[in-house]
Amino acid sequence: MSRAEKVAVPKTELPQNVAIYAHGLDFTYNPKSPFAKQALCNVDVTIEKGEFVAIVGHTGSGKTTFVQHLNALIRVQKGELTVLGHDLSVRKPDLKALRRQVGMVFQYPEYQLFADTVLDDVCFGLKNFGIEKDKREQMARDALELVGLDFDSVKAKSPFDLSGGEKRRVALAGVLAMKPQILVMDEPTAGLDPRGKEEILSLVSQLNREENITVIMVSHDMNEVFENAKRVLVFRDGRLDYDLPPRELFRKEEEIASMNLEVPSMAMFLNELERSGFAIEDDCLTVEEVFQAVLRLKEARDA
Amino acid sequence: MLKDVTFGQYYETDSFVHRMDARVKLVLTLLFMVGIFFVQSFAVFGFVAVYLGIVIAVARVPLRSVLRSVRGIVVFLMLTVIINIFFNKDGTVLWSWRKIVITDEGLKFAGKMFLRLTFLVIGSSVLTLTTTPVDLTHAVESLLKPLRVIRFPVHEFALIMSLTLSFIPSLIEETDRIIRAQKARGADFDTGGLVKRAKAFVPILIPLLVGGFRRAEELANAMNSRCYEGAKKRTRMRVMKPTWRDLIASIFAVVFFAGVFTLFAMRDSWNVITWLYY
Ligand SMILES: Nc1ncnc2c1ncn2[C@@H]1O[C@H](COP(=O)(O)OP(=O)(O)OP(=O)(O)O)[C@@H](O)[C@H]1O
Ligand SMILES: [Mg+2]
Repeated sequence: MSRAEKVAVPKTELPQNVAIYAHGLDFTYNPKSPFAKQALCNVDVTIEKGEFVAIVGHTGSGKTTFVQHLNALIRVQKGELTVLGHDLSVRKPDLKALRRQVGMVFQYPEYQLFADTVLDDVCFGLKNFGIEKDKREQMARDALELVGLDFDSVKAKSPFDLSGGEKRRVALAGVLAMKPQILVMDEPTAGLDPRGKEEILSLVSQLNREENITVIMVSHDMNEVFENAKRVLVFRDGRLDYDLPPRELFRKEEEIASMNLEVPSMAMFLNELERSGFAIEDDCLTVEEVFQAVLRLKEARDA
Repeated sequence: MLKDVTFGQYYETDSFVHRMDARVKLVLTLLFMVGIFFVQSFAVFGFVAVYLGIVIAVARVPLRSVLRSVRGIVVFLMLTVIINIFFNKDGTVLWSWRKIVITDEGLKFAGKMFLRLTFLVIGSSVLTLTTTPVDLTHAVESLLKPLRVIRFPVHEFALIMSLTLSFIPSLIEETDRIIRAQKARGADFDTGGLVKRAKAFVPILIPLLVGGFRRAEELANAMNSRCYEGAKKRTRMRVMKPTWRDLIASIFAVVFFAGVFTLFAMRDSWNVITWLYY
């Protein structure tokens, strides 16, 4: 669906399956001052429950500003925003309920760790959201094991004694423990080694597939966007310029380059194949899928 | 939110005052700060206001940013004024209720205190608005140089000062980020009693401290890898030199404060100016 086709849906009539609905969202930092800086401009977007959406854009394009709106860390200045039925343009939305449902993983989340032990840190959110004490430990155990840490060996450690990658997992577990319905991540893989990246991404994909968690992921790595996201939002200077599935988006090689973004290597390969007359289905995005598709093409030609 | 704190509030423009030698500006500001305590009457406060007005006009900084610095101490100002009104019981009583007495002397005294503190803050904000923190630390270093005779580590002191200043913006940003991150995990800083609120700051302070140490270590490594070795044989890229501007400004300021000091010294002996003081 292109931007022009989209029609405004009045808030009251939002269908059940809509997770996020933004209409005409504007945001200016330090308004009415010499340092005023418009960071979002007329953003319209509707995201359904269970989607895996990537947000990309050049640095300073407003990605962080947009995602921080989603759990009311930044309050709506102008426009409409409804997240899981909470209208965020009102003066006092129910922040606790909202933040419990919308888990937010910040850039470098390991820098928010503070507690004496890993267990306490993971339980911090649970405690704030009023989960009873005897349930907390079980939930923390589930979350830590989900992110691939051995609960019994890390629970009593100081979070500051872990490696960078482990710290990030603990921080992620602290958010996942609350079992959010929407998982918002601001560059979750920045600064990780390839293996760590891969593990985080496959965990997130798995949560999206199996638990039907809505995932919003800001990323600078077009390759990971291409392989994981089902839909890509491209921000430029605070505007939402494109809202397309990855394969369609990365066919526009020139536009992508003009926005200082990279074309993922797989997309380049597929585009090249297409130009030479070998069309491959749009839903083949990973190495494995493309490999199978190429095999099919080969068989079809041989037959 | 936290970003609104104006600290290193340098206002970028080109003016007579901006171009002055930071050392001269610093000394003249100190002179002003001392001088203001010798002002004892509303009439002389009027002169000081005119003086400040001229300085601000010549510095070409907007009045709004100057006044913003006063906003920061508004609570302190109000407190001082109120305490002075209620606790000064000299002079004739204007109004009283039970134990609370307001006298004319008390009002005058509070008014002068108010003006003194306000002018003090405005005067020093002109310095920080027209001088970059870097220049300011250079000025301090240069002015403290004589202390090297008694083995005071002037260069190190100035370095600590400039590092502190340069860490402040990033620390503010970091605080902002951590507050948001903890809010996203349901942290609540706005409700509950004193103890609960104080406790709520632990999840902010610890990451901030840890981050501070991390940054400090990174910076130390960066300095070491660039072969930094203290004051030895270091030269400056921008050497400060007083010019005709500094001469003019100094004459202007010295003449003005010579006037203030004279009025102060003669407050009892010369009838013509007694009205200035009572
Ligand atoms: N706290 C703030 N105060 C003032 N301006 C800000 C603030 N945060 C961001 N901005 C400005 O708003 C614009 C959008 O910033 P934002 O952080 O949303 O970008 P981004 O797309 O997340 O960039 P990056 O990829 O570098 O993280 C930028 O131009 C930035 O300078
Ligand atoms: Mg960002």
